[in-house]
Amino acid sequence: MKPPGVFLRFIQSLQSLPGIGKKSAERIAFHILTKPATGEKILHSLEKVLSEIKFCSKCGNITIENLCHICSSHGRDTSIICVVEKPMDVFAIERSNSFKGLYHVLGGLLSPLDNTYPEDINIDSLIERVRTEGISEVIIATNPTTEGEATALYIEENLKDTGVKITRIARGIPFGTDIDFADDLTLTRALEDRQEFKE
Amino acid sequence: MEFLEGITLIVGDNSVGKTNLIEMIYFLSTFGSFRTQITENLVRFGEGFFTLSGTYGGTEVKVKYTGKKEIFIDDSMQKSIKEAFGAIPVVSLTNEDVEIINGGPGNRRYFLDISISLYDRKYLNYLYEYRRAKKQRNKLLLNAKKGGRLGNFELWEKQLIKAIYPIVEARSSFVEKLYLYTREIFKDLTGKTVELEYIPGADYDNIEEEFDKNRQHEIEAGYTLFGPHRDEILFKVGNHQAKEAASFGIKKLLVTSLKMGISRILTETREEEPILLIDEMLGGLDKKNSNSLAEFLRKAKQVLITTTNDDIKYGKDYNRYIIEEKNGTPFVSKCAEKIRTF
Repeated sequence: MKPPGVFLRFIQSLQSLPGIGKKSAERIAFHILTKPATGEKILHSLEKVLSEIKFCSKCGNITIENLCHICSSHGRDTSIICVVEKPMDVFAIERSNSFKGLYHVLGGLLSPLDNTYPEDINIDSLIERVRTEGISEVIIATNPTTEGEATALYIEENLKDTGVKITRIARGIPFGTDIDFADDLTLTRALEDRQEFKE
Repeated sequence: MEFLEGITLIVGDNSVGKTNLIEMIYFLSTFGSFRTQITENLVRFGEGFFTLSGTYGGTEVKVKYTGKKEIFIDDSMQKSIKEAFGAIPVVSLTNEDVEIINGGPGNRRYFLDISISLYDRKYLNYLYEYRRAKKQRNKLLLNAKKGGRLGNFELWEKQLIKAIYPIVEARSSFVEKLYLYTREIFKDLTGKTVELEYIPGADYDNIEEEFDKNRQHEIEAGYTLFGPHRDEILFKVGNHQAKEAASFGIKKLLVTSLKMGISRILTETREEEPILLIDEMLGGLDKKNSNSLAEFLRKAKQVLITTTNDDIKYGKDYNRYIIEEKNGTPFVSKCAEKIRTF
């Protein structure tokens, strides 16, 4: 027996989510069908998220206010901006508790193949912030991919005139990883980005 | 199945699965086939998955295929094929390898890429980066061709050039090394001289100028006209281009010499001898040639040879598996004791 079309379309729409394959989509769909309460809960929070979450008018992070909790906080170092690709990256860095400055979320990386050009991501607003907010350092924390590197290069070239200090996050051996377990590229880059010994 | 050191013959009639057997070993090294680049074809008809594992030199490689490949090395899951490529070193020699000489330049670049990746893991990364940057650059060239904008072209060109240098460096030093070994082996096998020449697909010493100078050409074409994707290797036997002038037998011996040369390069760079997989390659060689090849193979650590008849003389002794078809599935029997020939 073939399931009803409405149900198949539900499975298909689940499948369009990142990390969800056919099998997982089917499992989730059937689960929701047999446990309607779970479905209601998801439906409710999904509606809330879609209607209430917006992007911070300053940094592009997710927020329910005009400014996100980082931009409106008084405890941050407002002279440093860390530039990331997406809000999830802010989450990750915040979790590490190792950065007390501000963020700037690009909302994508340059990629002509995906029709993403400088005006499609938040680069102009970054330049504007550096010019007007008294920023002393910009840390570029895009991924070390072809697109991430090209975007970093673009930002660097466009910030050069402002005289701000521009840095790039180091790439190296993950904490708790044995050197003999690190892959070759990571090792190569860790050696390239080596630092002087600090006590 | 376990294979001993030295030569193992895999004997059986046509289409009983001899080639499949060595293809599986090849797959554990490169995660592709020497016959088809699509894994789907390796899956038995009607079944959507397979699991394959093998151990060589203390390294265990396991592949689970369920539409996508999951690769485990010594039980730890690998992030990508890139990470796992060549964990087990393998060199294959099949009749299709003559296409390295006879086929188009793409065949020769594929041959370069696979061979280098077996001992230089960074190479594959640079190749990925190069292809990605070239795709982005091509998109902008095509935009411009259609009257659109060239955008921030220099960003992608810089990424492209960054990847070009290490690729070209690796290719030219590989061809240089390969030339030395191949010349020696080919001379031993045939008494003839061979030349290998790496022909760059751009003036790499002045690549930025070359791109600048030809910007308009590239826009008219709508894609990248220069670079490693235009590299070539030229083979010459006794001063003549092998592709046009050499006989089929000589071409066969040339690819044999190339593959044996790669085996030596791998032994030298990885300090580990690769497994040699030879698929029906020795048919059609005259007695003198097959004898000198057999002599060469006897010195190798582990060689698997498929053949329809086991009367080829590989020396005093070798191991042997016989593959027969029983009720439609391949049935392998092992002749444990070494066979004495002549």
